[in-house]
Amino acid sequence: MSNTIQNTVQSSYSNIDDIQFSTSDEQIFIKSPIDNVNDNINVEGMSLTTTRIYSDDAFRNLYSLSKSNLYGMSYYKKTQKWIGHITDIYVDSFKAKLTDLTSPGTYEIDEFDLEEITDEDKPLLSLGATFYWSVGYSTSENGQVTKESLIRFQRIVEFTDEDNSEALDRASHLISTLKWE
Amino acid sequence: MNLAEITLIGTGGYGECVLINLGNDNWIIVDSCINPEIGVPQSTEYLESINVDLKNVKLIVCTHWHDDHILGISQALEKCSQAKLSFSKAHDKQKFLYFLSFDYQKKNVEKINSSTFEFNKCIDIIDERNSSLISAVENKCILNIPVGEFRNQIISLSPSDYTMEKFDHEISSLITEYGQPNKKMPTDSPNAKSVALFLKIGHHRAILGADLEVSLHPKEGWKNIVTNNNLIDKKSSLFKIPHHGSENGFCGQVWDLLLEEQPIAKITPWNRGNGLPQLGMLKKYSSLTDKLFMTAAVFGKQPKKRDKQIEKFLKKIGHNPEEVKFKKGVITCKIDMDDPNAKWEVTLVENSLKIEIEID
Repeated sequence: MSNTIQNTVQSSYSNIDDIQFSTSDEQIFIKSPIDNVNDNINVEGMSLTTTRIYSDDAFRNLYSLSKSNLYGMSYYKKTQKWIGHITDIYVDSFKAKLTDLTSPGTYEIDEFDLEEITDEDKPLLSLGATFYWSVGYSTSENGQVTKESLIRFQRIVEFTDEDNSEALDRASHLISTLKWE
Repeated sequence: MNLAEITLIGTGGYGECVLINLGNDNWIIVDSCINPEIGVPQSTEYLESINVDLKNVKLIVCTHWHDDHILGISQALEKCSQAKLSFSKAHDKQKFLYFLSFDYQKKNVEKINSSTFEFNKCIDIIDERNSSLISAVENKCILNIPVGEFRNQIISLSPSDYTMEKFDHEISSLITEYGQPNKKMPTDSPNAKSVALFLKIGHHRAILGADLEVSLHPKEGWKNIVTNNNLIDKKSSLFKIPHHGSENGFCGQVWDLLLEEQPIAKITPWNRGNGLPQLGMLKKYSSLTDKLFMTAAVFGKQPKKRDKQIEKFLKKIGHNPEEVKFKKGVITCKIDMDDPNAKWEVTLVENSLKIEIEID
């Protein structure tokens, strides 16, 4: 990752004590010890979107920055993002409750064609499933403007051992301490 | 004069709540709702606006554990330091608490994926306070307060034992289907687990219907209450109509056997899908009482206002997300509990309105 990107990300998270950068072929991971992480950071005119992945022992949250945003020859302007939860599934479409991540407040309901989902994501389609939806305009290096609507399903499938232990411990504690009338 | 009060606050899609003054400033909060723009619980905002000391809130009743029904309830409980908490719990406490704890863990991944975040926070608060939980089941007095010559009471009419036995089995399915951290439990409403309440206030009676439905099984929902209740001693003059006036929430026997003629009837609308109440049900309720009130009209859905280019783009790709607007309405009803002939005085605030429909 370029120093410029690292420095910009570091300064965007200036209230965080420690950020670790690691790279893989697909994504750049930022481990952050706190919950509040900027969703949008402008680096060299490119907008980086973050997706919280999971929590681990050392840090609360692991965020990924999409490589296509960082290294792709495009940057986004005027994006609108939601997190959606599927409420109804039909033959060719599904309905979802949408929580606005760009301007938080009221929620929305919308219907999506199944064709809007990638083949990789289709197996994740089920009632209650979580997805991220972003729409916006991207401009390539050569000035080409493309409108994009991206739907990505959340891929976390398992709680960590620590999560399981925490849940069991809490339940056991409550069973023994809560008083019922 | 000893004034009692039952105030209903509706929001159109962000929960609802009822504030009850049982007399001598003994307050009860039932459920919760918020203004989504600022996240403030409407219950405590209302009480503070009429200069009620929140220490006088004796009880908070949670009629349903799903977040959509009780937005902001944990904040309200935090502010009401003397309040106990009441809700319907499963018979199998252990399984129920495991279920809640696992759903709560989703907050470590994506807080919004938990459907019981508010409810779990309430449990944490009660645990920290070393306070008691009051389980709400059929035919149980959950609060008893002496006021003058009266013993004013809050009585839970539901859920039935049969319903809660069924819920014990349902918990296992819920964990299997929605236990993964990337899945959110959908709201299951209307349902038989909802806590309906019967209020005894001096000479007067009221029923708060929550989201309770009419079930096929006689030991569930309104049929069970009509048949098997043993604590309803008198007909009620005020009725909070269940489940936003839906067909599933309507039980003719409730109107025949448990309500006075022409009671005060209050509805909170639901502005999702085709909206509730539907016109047919409004006509039905209007034929049963001429004192029908709603916290707001059911209104058409509009897209949310946002950047013009994004709006254009959404239209172009065939998307038109419908905004569930926050529309607050308050219906306040007060009555002199000492006077058996007193009538409820109704005050309508913000978007609330009286329904007057011509019956064919």
